[in-house]
Amino acid sequence: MKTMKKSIHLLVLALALCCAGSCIYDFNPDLKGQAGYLVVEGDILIGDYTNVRVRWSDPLKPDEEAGGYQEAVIRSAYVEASDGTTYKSGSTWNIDTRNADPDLEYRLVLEVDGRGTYVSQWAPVERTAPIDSVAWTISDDKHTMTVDISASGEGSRYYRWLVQQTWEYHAAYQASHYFVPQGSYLKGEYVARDTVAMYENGENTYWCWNSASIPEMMMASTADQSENRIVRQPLFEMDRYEQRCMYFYSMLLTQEGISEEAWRYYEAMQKNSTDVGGLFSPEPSEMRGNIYNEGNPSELVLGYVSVTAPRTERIFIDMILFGRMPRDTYSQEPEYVQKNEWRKYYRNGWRVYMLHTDEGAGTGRETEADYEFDWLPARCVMCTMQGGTKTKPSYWPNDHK
Amino acid sequence: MKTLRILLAAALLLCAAMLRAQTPAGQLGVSKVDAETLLRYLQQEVDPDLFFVSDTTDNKSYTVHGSRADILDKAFASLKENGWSVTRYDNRWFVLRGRPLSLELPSGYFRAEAVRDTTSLEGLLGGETTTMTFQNKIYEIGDPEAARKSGKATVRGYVRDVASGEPLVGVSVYEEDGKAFVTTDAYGFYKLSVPVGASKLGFSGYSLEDLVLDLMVYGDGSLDVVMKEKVFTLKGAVVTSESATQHRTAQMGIEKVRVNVIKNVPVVFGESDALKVVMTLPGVKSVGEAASGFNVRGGSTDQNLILFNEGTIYNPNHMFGILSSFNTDVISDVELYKSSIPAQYGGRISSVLEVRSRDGNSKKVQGSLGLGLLTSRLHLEGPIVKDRTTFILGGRTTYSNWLFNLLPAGSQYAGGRASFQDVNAGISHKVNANNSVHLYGYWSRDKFSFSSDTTFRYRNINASLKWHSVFNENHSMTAVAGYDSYHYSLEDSFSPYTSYMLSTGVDQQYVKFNFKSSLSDAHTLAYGLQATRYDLNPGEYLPTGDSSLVASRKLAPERAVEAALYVGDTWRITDALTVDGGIRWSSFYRPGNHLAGGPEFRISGKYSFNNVTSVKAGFNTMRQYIHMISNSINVSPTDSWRLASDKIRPQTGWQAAAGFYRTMMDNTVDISLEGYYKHVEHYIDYKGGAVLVMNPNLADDLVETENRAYGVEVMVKKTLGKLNGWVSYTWSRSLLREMEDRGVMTINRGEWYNAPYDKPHDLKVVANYKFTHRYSISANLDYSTGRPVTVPVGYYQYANGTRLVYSDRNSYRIPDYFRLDLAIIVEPGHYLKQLTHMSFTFGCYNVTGRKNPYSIYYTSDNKKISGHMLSVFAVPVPYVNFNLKF
Repeated sequence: MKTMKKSIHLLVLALALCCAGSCIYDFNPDLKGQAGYLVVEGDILIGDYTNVRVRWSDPLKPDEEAGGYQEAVIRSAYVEASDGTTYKSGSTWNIDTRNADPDLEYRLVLEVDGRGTYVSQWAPVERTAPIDSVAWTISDDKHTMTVDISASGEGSRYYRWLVQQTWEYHAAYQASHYFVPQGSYLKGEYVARDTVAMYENGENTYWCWNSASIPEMMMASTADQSENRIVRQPLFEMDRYEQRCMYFYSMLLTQEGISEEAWRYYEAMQKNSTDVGGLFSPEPSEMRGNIYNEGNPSELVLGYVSVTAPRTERIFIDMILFGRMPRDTYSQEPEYVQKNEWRKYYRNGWRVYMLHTDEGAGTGRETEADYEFDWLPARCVMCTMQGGTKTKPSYWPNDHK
Repeated sequence: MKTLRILLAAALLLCAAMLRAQTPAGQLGVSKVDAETLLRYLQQEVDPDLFFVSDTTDNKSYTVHGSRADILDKAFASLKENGWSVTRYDNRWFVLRGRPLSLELPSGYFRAEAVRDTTSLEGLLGGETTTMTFQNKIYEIGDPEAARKSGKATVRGYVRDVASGEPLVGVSVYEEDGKAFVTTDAYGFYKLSVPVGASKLGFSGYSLEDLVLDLMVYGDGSLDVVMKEKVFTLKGAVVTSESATQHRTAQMGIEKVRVNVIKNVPVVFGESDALKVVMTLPGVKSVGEAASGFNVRGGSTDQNLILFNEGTIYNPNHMFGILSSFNTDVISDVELYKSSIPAQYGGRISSVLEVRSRDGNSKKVQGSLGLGLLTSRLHLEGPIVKDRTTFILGGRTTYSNWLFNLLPAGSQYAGGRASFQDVNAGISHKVNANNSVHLYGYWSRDKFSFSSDTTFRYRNINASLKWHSVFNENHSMTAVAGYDSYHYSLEDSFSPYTSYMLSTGVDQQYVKFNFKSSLSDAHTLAYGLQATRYDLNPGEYLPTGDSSLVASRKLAPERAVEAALYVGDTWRITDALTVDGGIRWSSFYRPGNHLAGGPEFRISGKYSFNNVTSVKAGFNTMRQYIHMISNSINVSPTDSWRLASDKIRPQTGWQAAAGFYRTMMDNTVDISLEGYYKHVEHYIDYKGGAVLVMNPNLADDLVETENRAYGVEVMVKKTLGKLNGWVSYTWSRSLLREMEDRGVMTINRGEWYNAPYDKPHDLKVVANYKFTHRYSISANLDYSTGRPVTVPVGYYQYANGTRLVYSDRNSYRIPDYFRLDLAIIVEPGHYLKQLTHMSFTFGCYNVTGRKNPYSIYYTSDNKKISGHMLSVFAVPVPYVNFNLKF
């Protein structure tokens, strides 16, 4: 589709000319950053929860980590229907609009501390065509996996997708034992001296779960088509050597039908952030959203509040068939560590891997003190050191702990 | 030399025939016969040594009777009554209508080095038109019998190239001692009023050897002149130049570049390029490398009218701007009007760039073959009927795909391709001395893709038929009819379900009648009528392939007629003071919209303090009814042309300018200083998030701005000597301001902001040094302030990603631009007998390897916002170019 393709054309020329000596260099001029725009995110989701988030934009600090966006203090937030009904939020800005009437018009009303009341323009509910299928294809030469979507039916001709991904991965080695330092408690008992215990009941530091959203704007339109049908629209690509392709992957896909104006707003937002700098690139320009400060209508507010009845679907992909060991997997030969060195290794960030099987083992004459263990750096056996957590989502379809 | 030999041989034959004796005879006679029959009878029956040139304009009938002894005298007497002359020379009779035979060769005939290509008999005749060949001779103009005693007489004629017979355009013709001055027009024609009596007439043109002819003017008459290309002498420079033009016309801001200059300027990949040379002139800028769109005096690229043999070129680029559409093998010169735009031209606000192709050699068939890194060229030209009908044919094609093949295999863009072809053809036919007909055709095709699934294509077609007619010595006409077409398409086959083809196009038909009339010595009138019919396809969207879901859609075609009437007068008030005034009434009718149009005024004046110092001032108003819709800074293939309407109003503007001109150092150096102020209304800019493609309500996404531009241009030009070239410096600004108040969304709060092509400082040097006749070195230096860009001021988190927020439009500048190119040109040896001549150009583009930024931009990888700079040619690009002339 047009929008997705455009980003490809932009820098293509530059790259095509690269062979003739053209290239892209890092360049960071001194720019005067400017802050203080209110950024409102909060699509009114009929049939779902409306999640409101209001933050401030940050002044540009090139080459510094982005983040730390300052949240604005919201005094109240509610969704107002054209029949006068209001849907208020509790303490979190999560407004229950699950049972809102899809035939009414809605707007978002926010009171921001020190800034006054902000409202979005009244808008009818955009219907969303159902998701037909989600598919993924592997490209061998590029080591990528492309996720695409198909949808058709009644609804808006302008689509926007949001993806929340969760995946299960594992450490390079599965440790069978773990170190218990002196002074801690093991199964309710005080541990008087350093010891090593065995994982039981499937407990481990091997399986982890991680999550991330897709930062790219994912949009498409069927306005140019004879029917409202999306066929295999590429959403995003994954590198097969990434962690999320390692074992088991799931995504919660939200498909929103949006208005033409919203689509144009998001398209401009996308172009401004990604489609700039090419030979034929459009010049960046700011576009006005649909949120206004009632007391100061000329204030520029960033963001767009769509009113839509979204479709959501959760997809699972068993990556065993497609995934590769992630490029950043840390692996190393285990080291045999004697008991007197346990503490030293532990302090240096090493962890127990498994029993060191030497000739003495398995003869029937060994005592516990004779057991010696192989150790590994913690990142080889602890999946939590690769960004994920041991918190398994409730919907996860396997019995890993 | 060859023709000289033919001349001598003919003269010898003549002498041999004259040795034969006369034969006596009896009673003879003819009744009621025409002159030719009479003469033929006399020749056969009375005296075989009678020679005559028949003249069908004598329709008298003759009856002559007499004896063998007196019939000749009787016949001659009757003939003389009817305007024939009889000359007796060495026992031979020469009977001619009109002036008697000259019995002497012109003085200095055998000393002269120039070559005359006329037959012996014609050469001996003092005909109506004298073809000038030699200096050191006194040329008689007019009939000595009817010589006026005082007053002025008109001398007119054509200036042609000695070798090819092609007309030479823009040659200065001037009276050495007086102030009379003209330049030759597109047909090489000139007309000059000179005092009766002895005078000297000078002819000079860039890269042509100067001529000064001694005239003895008796009355009105013709003098055709041939000039030859200058051979650069190593010792002793040739003086004078075409600087004469600068001090003698009232028009200002006109830059003319001949093709031989264009060929010497080093350009990327060594492909000589007319547009790239135009961009080295003061007041002309481009947004960056690989951009053939150019900006004149703070105007946008679509405000330039690019005419190629009278046809409009809508996209003058090949290969996304690396090369221009004009094949230097077939063009003769380019002329840029950036200030005083003659009333003859209109329809664009900023400038007129006129590109003319050559007519072709009228003497012999010749051609050239060129091989460069990206293209190969072939051209052929020559007479179809010698001295009457000529043709010229040129073609270029690319083999640039090797460039793309250098991309790493597996790269996303390895499937990229770019190619183009173009063909120029021209036929010129001289119907008679006063009428000529020219037929021109141009076709070009571009195709490029950056991946296997997207293909861009565009093509230009131009065809025109021109009739040039000289009614009488004071009145001439040029009538042109033509067709121009520009079509663009984009084919996307990224997914079989969404594959589509998008196309846009401009078609136009036009007629132009331009007249020139000399009312008196002081007034030269130019007037005419022009009409253009536009037929635009603003956008058509079609599915491609069987499974595409795309619905075909077509925006309503846009049709309109633009018509204009104009009249202009060049008034030589005194020798020092000249005023050019013109008015053009243009109107634009588009069905469903109000009639647009109105008057446009063109005034300029010149005052010369002396032959080398003058001042000028001018004022112009312009209107433009067609706009290019684009929001990229470069001329991009996706730009579409749209006609003005009630919602997208025509652009209007005016420019006031003044200049000072001085010629120094023995007429070898010209200095010019020009300042201007310009104001344009209804210039189009774009709202944030504007949709420009396939948008039926386009006007809603556009904003109207006013543009003000001002600047000072200094140029020092040395056209002669071993070292020649020019240095130009421009200081200028170009600012825009939105005309409507749209509250917070008004661009930059309704304040003035920098136009995207506002580059205040601009220094350009083009220099060529001839070591010997064969070896020369060329340098090209370009420095300018970086162009304005819009940069982010902040960032925010939205829809899970980091987004950038932009503030004021065009408030930051990319780093300054600097580039130096060098080339060594090896010309062929000057061996006349050699069948082919080879020349080589070795050069290097961007010698210093400076990483000139084309753009700067920011990306976020969701952790970091990083700045990047795109540089098009960031390393020295060496090249070699091979040319073969035959």
